[in-house]
Amino acid sequence: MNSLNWSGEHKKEAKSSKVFTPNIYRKPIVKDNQDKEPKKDASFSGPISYVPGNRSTSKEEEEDQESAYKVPASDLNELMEKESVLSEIKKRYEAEIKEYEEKQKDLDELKSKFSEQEKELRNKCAILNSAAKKAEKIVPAEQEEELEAEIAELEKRRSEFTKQMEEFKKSKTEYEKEFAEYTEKMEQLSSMRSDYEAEFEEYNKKRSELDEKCRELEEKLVSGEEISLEINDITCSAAIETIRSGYYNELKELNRKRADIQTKKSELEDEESFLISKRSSIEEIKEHIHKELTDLGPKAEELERSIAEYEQRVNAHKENETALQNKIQALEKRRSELKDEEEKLISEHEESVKRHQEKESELQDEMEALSRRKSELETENENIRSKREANSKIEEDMKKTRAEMEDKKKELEEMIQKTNEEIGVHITIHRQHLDIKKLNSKLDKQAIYIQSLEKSVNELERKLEDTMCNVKKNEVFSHILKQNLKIME
Amino acid sequence: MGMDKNSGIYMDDFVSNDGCLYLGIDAGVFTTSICTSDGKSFSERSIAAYSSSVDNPEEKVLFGDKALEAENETIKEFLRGEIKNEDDICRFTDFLRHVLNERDIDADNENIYAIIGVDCDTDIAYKKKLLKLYNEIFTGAMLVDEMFCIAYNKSLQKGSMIVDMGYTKTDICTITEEKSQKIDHLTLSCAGKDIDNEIVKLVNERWPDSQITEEVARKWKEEHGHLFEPLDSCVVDILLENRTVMESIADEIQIACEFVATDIVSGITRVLSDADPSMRESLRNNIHLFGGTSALPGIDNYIENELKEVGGGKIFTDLDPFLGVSEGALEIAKNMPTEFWKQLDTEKQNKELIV
Repeated sequence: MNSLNWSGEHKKEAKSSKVFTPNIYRKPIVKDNQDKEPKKDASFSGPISYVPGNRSTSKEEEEDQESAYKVPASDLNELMEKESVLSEIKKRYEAEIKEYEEKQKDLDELKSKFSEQEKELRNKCAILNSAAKKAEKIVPAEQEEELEAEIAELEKRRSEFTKQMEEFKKSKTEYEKEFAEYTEKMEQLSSMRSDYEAEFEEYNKKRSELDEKCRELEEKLVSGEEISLEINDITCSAAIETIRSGYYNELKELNRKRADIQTKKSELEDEESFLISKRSSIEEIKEHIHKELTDLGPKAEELERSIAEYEQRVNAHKENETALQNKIQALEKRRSELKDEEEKLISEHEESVKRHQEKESELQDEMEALSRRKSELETENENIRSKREANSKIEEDMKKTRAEMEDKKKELEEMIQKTNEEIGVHITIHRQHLDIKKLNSKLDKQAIYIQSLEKSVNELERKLEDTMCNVKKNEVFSHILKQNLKIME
Repeated sequence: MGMDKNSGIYMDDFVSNDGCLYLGIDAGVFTTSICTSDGKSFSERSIAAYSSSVDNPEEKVLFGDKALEAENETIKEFLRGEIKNEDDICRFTDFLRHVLNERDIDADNENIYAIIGVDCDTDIAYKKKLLKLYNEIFTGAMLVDEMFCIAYNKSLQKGSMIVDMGYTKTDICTITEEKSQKIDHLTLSCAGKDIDNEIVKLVNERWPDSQITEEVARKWKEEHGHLFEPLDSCVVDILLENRTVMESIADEIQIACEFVATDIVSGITRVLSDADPSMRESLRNNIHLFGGTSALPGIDNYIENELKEVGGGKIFTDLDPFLGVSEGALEIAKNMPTEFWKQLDTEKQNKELIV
């Protein structure tokens, strides 16, 4: 190839060369196939590489295959025995299933009976409840209300009467107190009267004495006897006079005392009359209270009677209630008994079911074990069959791979030839690469030279700009000058 | 000072250190403004007063503000920018010399070079006269379009608009090419003088016996002129036939200002509509106001608001209303290559020789 042909044409050629590039890193195809093929058969224990000289392994395999087809007689007997055992187990199992089904039927019947009994019990309970409600409804509500109203009225009256009684008692105590006070005063007055009477009697005695003395004296005087007074050294007239004066004084005092006693007597009489009137009034009140008490007596009796009746009724009701409650309790007891029976039956039923289930599970386990054994035997049979098939396949594959190997050998020989050719191409490419490097160094030198040229161009441009500016400036001024010169002309 | 480097039109500034004095002159109808390279800048009313009474045969001349203060006998002559005869030349040269002398600038110095801003629509004949006059005064003088002076000074780029609102006219110029010597412009007759006239007219309508002059109206305009909401403090003394009255003329001033401003806005819209469609957006957003009338407070906002109806616009008041041209002219004078000045000088000498 020409070394100067490195531009677009060369690229095109390079692209076209990509159609076939001898990849030195590519793995040989034969080995890949050998790696992949063993994966196809799962029954193989590991990858088996084919070595033409190693024929002994294949022979062993063939022997294994042949031995797999020959089943020993002992195994057959065992199998036959197992089969007979299996048939017996099957029969037993079927009989047990029948028993279980019968028991299941019994249980179903019991279940149905239990439900009927439950229904009956519920009905009975409902009847009892209704009877209890009816019993409650025997006493009419209206009468009860009336009675309660009467009781409430009677209680009201009773409370009123008790209040009145308390008031009367209070008034009675007050009256009694007053009466006691009055009696005390009466006693005092009577004692005073008796004192006055005693004093009055003394005065009367003295008076009578004095009157007797007076009479004696008058008689003496009348008789003309000289009055010999016990008083010595006193003349008669003077003595008389003194006696007279004493007598009159005493008389005066007596009269005064008499008047006092009379006034006191009148006062006492007044008080006595007042007390008598009060006594009469108290007696009247007493009588009135007695009357009221006598009136209240029958009412209270009536009330007590009605209360007693009401209590009797209430007791009767309570008795009825207790009887009903007893009945309900009896029913509940019966219910609980029935429930217990039901629970017992259920538990028994569950236990029987459990037993059956256990038996069933045991049977199932046995069946599963048998089926497993059966399947194992089947799988063994299948394995033997598959091994036989695999062996035949391996033989076919071996033939195929041998043919492929031969083809690949041919391909490899061709590839060796092509690589030899490619090596020549690579040498030319390397030569071209060296040429390109040389050219690149030349280009770098030229680029440096171009840069220096660019710099000088830039400087020149700047200078040009400066001069252009100067020119423009001068252009303006020259224009002005021109105009002025023109004007001057 | 110069244009942006990217625009590619102007170079950076350079100040010559050759001992020359450079002048930038804007000889306007109303004011004459001058900027010098030694840092002076001033403006003077373009007016001269002459007294030629019989008693005093020697003519007495007063210039600028002093001329305004002169007595009634003297004749006040406004420099209309028109040099018709030799007398005009003499008066103008006298005025210039006087103004320069006032600021200690010797016009007879051999190294004075001046750039004079001239109106863009000035005819060649008049330019000739002017150039001759200035070349007689200074060592070297050149005439440059005053709009170019402004553009040069502020480095205005392509797609900018300059509205020069002067005393007698308004010029609306557009910079459409990179060579800013080529400037399109529209001249409007409405300007500051029309505001004065309008104020006089409106005051006469209100007070028929009023005796106010345009000069008084100009003073009022300078004092109270505005273009925003009416002010309450526009109280002035109005001279009537037999008396004076103190009244507020806020409405009159505002009406007069708006009268002129609306005309200017319509001129701007006309220029915009005539411009190349690709340039319109740039022109609308780069409007620079210049001239004595641009000093009216609120004129920028007024024009902006008016332009909203035609798509809006951006107004700039970055230019000095009185010294804008002279500053630009000075920049050109300073940046002008000395060879060019020499070339002009030799040309002048040749001319003189030919003559």
